[in-house]
Amino acid sequence: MSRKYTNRRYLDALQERVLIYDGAMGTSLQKQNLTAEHFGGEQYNGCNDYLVITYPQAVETVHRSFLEVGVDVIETDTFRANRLTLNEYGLADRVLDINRAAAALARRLADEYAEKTGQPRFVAGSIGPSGKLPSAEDPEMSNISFDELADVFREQAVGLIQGGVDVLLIETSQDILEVKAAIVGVQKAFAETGVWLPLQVQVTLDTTGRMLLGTDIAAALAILEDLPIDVIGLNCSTGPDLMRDPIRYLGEHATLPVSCIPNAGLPLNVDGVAVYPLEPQPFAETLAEFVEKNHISVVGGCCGTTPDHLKALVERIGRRPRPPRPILSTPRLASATQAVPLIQDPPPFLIGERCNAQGSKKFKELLLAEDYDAILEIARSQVAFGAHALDISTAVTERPDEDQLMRKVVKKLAAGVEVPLVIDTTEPAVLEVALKTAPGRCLINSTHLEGGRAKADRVFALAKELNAAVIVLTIDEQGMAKTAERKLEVAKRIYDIAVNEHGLRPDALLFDALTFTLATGDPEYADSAIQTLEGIRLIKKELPGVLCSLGVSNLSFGLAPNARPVLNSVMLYHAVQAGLDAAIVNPQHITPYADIPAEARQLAEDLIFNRRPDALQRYIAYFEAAKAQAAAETAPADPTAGMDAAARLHWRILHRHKDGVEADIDELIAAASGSKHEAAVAVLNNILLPAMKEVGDKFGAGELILPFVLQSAEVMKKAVAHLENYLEKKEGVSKGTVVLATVYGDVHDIGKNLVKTILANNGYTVIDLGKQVPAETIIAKAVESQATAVGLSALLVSTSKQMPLIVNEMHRRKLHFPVLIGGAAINRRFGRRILFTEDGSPYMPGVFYCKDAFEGLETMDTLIDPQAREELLDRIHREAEMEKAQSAGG
Amino acid sequence: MNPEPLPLPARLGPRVVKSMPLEMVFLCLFKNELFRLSWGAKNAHGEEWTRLQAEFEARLARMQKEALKEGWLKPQGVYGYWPCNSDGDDLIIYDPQSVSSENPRPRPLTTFTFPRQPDGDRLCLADYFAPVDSGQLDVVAFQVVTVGQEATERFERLEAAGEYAEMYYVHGLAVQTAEAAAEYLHRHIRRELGLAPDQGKRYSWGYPAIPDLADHRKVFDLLPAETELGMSLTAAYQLVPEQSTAAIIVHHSQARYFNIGGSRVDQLTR
Repeated sequence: MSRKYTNRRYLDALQERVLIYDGAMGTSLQKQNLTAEHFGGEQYNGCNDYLVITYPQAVETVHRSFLEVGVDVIETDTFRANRLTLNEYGLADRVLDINRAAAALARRLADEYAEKTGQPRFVAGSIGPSGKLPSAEDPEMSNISFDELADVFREQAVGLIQGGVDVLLIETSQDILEVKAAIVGVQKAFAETGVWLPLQVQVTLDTTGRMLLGTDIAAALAILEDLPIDVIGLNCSTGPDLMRDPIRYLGEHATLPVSCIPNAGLPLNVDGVAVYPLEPQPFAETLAEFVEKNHISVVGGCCGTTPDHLKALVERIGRRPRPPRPILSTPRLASATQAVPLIQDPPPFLIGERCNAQGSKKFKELLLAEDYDAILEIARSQVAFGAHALDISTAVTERPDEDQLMRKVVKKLAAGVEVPLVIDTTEPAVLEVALKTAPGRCLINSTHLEGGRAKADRVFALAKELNAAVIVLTIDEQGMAKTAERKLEVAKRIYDIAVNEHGLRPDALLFDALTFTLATGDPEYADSAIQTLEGIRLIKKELPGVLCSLGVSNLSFGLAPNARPVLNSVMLYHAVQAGLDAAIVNPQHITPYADIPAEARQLAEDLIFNRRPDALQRYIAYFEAAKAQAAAETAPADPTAGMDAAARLHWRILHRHKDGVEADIDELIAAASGSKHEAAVAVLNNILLPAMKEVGDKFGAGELILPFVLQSAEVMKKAVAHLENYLEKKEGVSKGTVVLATVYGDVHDIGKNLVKTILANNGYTVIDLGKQVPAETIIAKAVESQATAVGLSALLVSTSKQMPLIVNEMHRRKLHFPVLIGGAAINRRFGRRILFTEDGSPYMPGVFYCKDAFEGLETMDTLIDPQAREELLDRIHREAEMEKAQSAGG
Repeated sequence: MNPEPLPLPARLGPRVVKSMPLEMVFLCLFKNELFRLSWGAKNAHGEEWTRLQAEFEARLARMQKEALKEGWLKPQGVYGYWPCNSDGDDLIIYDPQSVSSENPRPRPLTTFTFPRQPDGDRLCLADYFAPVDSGQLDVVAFQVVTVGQEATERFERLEAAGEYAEMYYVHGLAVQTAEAAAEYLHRHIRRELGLAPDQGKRYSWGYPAIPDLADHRKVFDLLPAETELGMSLTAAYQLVPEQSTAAIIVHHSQARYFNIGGSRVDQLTR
């Protein structure tokens, strides 16, 4: 079904050559230094769209500046002229006026220049975003229905059409669901006015190549390309350089003409003025490259592009014939974020069936409890097991609101999983809600002709309007087609309705040739799997372009749970051989054909191909026997299985798992014989501290990186916090007190904070004085708290000089605190040097350089052990003497 | 070395960049430094590095998205151009107001004295500028950038909440985003001066070519970092907020990084 146009001048020109749009409206208006008066008063100040009423000369100046340099298309000054954004200025009731006036102004100027220069000039009606994000999770941003949003755009489009534009331009789109609503709204405007124009749609991508809510270019194309649009492209955003990848993608995959209308880069604000970094020449160069290399058909400028940019572009592009476009596209579904090809290599496309209230008891319970987080978990686990899309069915007899449940599940999953959704319902009204909630390109499951074609007509109309693919079952008024020939006959009839009448593409249809259970032994169905496989073969051969899907699990319905996966997997293998493209399965239960034991495979094939009368009995008997063994093998592995509480606690610290530490501690305390206090101290000393020691050793050996150590420290902190419930007193539990500080003048305290984390989670009491701490504060706190030691940190050479000052002062006051030092600018030699004070004698309590937090911990552990302490002190004094002698000699 | 003086830019003196586009600043991130230095991967290699890289990339994407949404990283800066001449190890900065074709002797505003390598190539930053007796004015740029106070507050909050690993990641990203903002602004300055994308170098105080932080005071006297960005200097001339950098930008095509020599311990105990 081809599109209808009452004015296709724009498309005819595009058939011939590359078209060049104008440059920035907003930033060009800004340069005119307009005042509130120009905008019609203070309350309208800054409403650029209103200028077409209050001071059209400003807009005319901008249009003329671009027409003068030879652009083909000018955009109306209506980027924000929709009911929602105009309402911010109290102008919601002026939507039609403003759009009509803006379009008429541009029309007059375009015609004037066309006549003057002989170059046809076109007017594009600019339609920017509404400010809402309908697919966002944020309730505030998404509190508008699809139909309301479509109507907002319908109204604006009507004004633009009445004002005489040649093409409507939906641009700078951030939310793909809003784009769909805008397209639907514009179609309504065409119908309402009887004027049918081309439609160009442009999305905006960030530096990572995604729309605001995560949609990448492949998804955007899959979602939009079969909607009634004529040109697809990108605009605004980051500047052409960063558009290379998505432009290449569109160049290679879009069958429609592609547009690219970038900013002159992203601006920085210098002295209150937005400065766009990209100069005219490189701007024009990059766009010319897109035209030449990527076959882009429409170029122009967005924010920050001046007449100079466009002049350069016109000169560089010139009059250039239309670039070739690919003819074939491949069928894809899309989630809110990414596209997934329906034709997988290797096939099939797997549709996870566990989010189905009729097929899964667990899902149904969660649905009735409206536990959407748990539903999301079921969805995610299917994706983890390889599902390419997820079937969703919310029909439950207990509740009348299938549509509302569907809306909520679709919204939750659209934001939470990266795969497309398959809408499984028999109710067209529920289907419509789902398709108007899902940002992606969905698959509909399913329709057929059982009750005649009325319902199917409604489903195909929705599929066409909102660009979905459809699973169609080979069922008609006579019932389910059982023979291969009947399956083909029904398929041909449905194909005719969907493709020839509704205008769906053949590859938007997935025929399901039906499966019947083989578990009943009913002779009527003994050949049914053979008929299904043959049906698939016939449909793929006779109806080129269409795909086939199959609800494989029906085949084994009624068999014991352990017997089902093999039969399903073997059937799936043969169906794929017959040409099957997609299958609805539990992805966890699909085993590759080659991995199925030969005997089981043989038994399954006997049943599927009806090779012997006792095939079913033999199959059942085999799995009865295998049951016990299989159960044992498939038990999930718990890494802490078989460990006692102490081992588990140790494991959790080492492997950074916070969950469960409290329970482990409770178990250990409960099992201890002495007092709870003693038991808690024992847990700390015998389990927690050794576990952290092991973490530290692994860090020292390079087996763990620092952030992982910190995660272990978080587990430790949680464990200690819980342990404190059992401690009667804190004294005697702490291994010592350390006063820590980043020295005066220094604001860099990440190093000190790490030391604090490690010491505090290894049994020390840490008094953290923060950063920029004066010497006197540090010394006073050490005296007051009777500290075991003082720790000093500094980042730079200049601030590290505080360290000897503090050592000297403590020496002068004859204090006894060992000093631990660390920091980027200092080293072991520095530590030895500053051990000697101004008067030439060493600071007896010692100065200890520590290269990281764990050497700090090791040093503290040594200092609290009287004998080890003496040995360490001896050593550092000796080393310092040697250093002194060496430097004096050298 | 032959001086390569540049013509003076149209607008001399300081400028304020109240905002830079964060997503563009992120494109200037040096991921290797972020992952290895600031996020602790150090010299991980082979499979471990591949695994860490994948994990860090995912984390970075998530944190960048959060930062863009929540605005806790706010790159901003001050920069400017000054007429200047070298005189031995000194760089004399002139008052832009005093520069005109009639006035052959502009009024000095301040003088930076840069250390010279004691031996070898005997490099000194002043050598990259036109000498005072060349009769030609040269131009130098200074810049100060910061990612703002909110970054500091964010990791102080995380630290207090015991979210050590997250604090460490947030701190690392803030440090590297300040560096990225410096690179972003440097690129802007190169564009304004009409330099090739890789011409010249940016030197920060505290690094081997110019170790002494005291010059930060002079930079703060030239640029309104205190009044416009709410920044300050500590007694040891460190920048506050912590995630900030200051730099002198040299346009000379032969400019390179060097070390003024002397061991760190000597510098420390001097």
